[in-house]
Amino acid sequence: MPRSTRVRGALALLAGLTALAGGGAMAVPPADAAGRWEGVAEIPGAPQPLVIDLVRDAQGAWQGSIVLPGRGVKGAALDGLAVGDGKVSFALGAAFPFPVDPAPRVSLAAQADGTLAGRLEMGGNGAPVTLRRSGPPQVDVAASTRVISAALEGVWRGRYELGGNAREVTITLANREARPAGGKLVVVGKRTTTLDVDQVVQGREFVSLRASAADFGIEGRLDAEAGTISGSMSQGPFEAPIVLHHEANAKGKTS
Amino acid sequence: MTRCLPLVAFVLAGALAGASLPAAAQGMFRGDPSHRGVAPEAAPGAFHRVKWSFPTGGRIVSSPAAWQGLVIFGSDDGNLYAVEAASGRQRWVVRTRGPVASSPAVVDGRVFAASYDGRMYAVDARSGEILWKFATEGERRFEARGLHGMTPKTQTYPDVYDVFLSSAAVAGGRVFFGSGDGHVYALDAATGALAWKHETGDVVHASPAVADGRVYIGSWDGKLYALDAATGAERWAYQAGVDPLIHNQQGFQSSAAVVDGTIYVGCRDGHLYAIDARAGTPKWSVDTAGSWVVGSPAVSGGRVYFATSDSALFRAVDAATGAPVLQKPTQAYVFSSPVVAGDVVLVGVLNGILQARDRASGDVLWEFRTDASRANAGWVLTSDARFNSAFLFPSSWGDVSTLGAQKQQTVGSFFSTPLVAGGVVYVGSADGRMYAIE
Repeated sequence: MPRSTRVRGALALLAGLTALAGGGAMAVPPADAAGRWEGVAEIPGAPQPLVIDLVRDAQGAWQGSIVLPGRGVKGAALDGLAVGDGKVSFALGAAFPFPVDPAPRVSLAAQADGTLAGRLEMGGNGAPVTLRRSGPPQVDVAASTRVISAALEGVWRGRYELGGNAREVTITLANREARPAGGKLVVVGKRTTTLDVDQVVQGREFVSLRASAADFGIEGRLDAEAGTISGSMSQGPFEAPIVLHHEANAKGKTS
Repeated sequence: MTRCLPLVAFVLAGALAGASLPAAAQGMFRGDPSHRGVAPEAAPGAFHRVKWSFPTGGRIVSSPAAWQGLVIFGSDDGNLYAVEAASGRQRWVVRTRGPVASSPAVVDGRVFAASYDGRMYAVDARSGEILWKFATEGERRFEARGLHGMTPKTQTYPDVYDVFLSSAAVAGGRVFFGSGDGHVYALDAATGALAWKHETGDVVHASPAVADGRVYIGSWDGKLYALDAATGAERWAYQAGVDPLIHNQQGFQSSAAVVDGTIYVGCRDGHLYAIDARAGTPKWSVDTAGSWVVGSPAVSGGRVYFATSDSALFRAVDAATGAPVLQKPTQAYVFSSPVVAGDVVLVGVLNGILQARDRASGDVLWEFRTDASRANAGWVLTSDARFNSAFLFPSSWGDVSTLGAQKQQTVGSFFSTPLVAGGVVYVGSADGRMYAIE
């Protein structure tokens, strides 16, 4: 019998015993919550398929991501993921293109038949959700570069224009202990905005920086010798060309 | 649709027809730059099971390519994926800023794919690292006033059936593709540098075929172009039908197959054409009575296999003469391109059914149907798997028609063209899943 079948069998047996002992919802050992769960949120007139992946990392902390077919969402992180006592809950802030307050939330409880059942709550609306295990987990983790090169570390400055308005950009990138490289992004236009650069991907020449909180990104080609990154910035649907200059090379340059 | 229908009906049904493309053999759309549509191995003769399915966030119209144990494809969720063929597990993902509605080409360890963000991407096939991007002047769908007879007739509508982006053909160290900006591009495969671009009269979402030093590609201006692969110089342009009234019967979505000096290509003007590759003159044409030929023909064993939209037919004609050989109903529109795989021809249908047909007789050997198609969600299909068009298209009002067309795809339509590799059939669905079927 394949391992996954054994796990499912054990889960079903445990579920059955618990159901006999105490009714519908049951406690699921955390290890059994790990996996890919698929089902539907029964939104009236627009049933929404859900694919949720749950896994524990090396430190035992739960990680999760979601796929929302038809909504363009693949691998959005589950926020505030809580697993225990037969329950799984998380928020879906990362699955929507702009902030929703309060964040949509899914609360699930293990059922005697091995499913997870509960509700999706959003904007005062609620929809029943039922998920069935469909396989091993495939949690999406943003591909960040663990250690960036010395040429990319440090302070970068540049400028871009949107709608005729100039914005000055200062980015500080650094390697970080026990975390992938990251940094800070400051945009000065009509106002000053400071964002965390939470994703840095450095390829052979191609560099991509992302501040997820504002859907802000910069990508381009790194010329280590010249100390420039030539490419474009993007925020939502907007794009503009930008050239960043490394501070060590940036004296007098503001393009 | 057929020409004898009243205009409104013509329009509505027509709105349902139309897009193109997909992939066949292994490393690029339709298998190789000549786009014969013949897989290098046989498809299964019977359906056994779904080995795995990989969910994405958007519909998949992209046709998969295979490379060293990976299945590589795009999704309308904006991502380009590499999934392990054996397990269905994601190896890497490249996030773009628009639907990846093209089919990737994999050559020399590099993946080339176009996104609706207006860029051609070159990606390391092993790691998913972006090597370069090339920005065109921007993507857009084909659009026209009063398109398909939608009202108000003075309104400009994007064509909801223009679902595919041009898929790259890679030959001689160059990447060839078309763009919604109306150009055909040639880039250096190593650097992404522009070699040349050639302007056409409208959106270019068909995919180029490359043979004998020429690039053959159709545009929505209704012309099929032959361009010099080295310089981009126009060698000839064949003008197919145009439809100045409602723009329903014009434009190339189908990608050409080039075999033995003849170009075989479908057109939305309701024809399949065979054109002399050197001279650009027609050898023969098949009139499909107004039904679009969106998918790309497959050419094998002296036959040309193709399928139609509104008339919903799988057909084969003699490659030399165009004489009919066989004709079988598919129940619903076909935008996916037939793939010849041994004695089997695979045909994806917009009703969410993948058909495996006997190559000789055209009879159905087996079918795979998506769950969404089985559920017949929202009365989209009739009980015999035809589109429930009268229900979906109650008027010619533009918004209503657009919504009806979108609703059609909720049954897991197969726009994607199947790939056969290792005895497994891989095909994407509008339900957002890449299926591995054995």
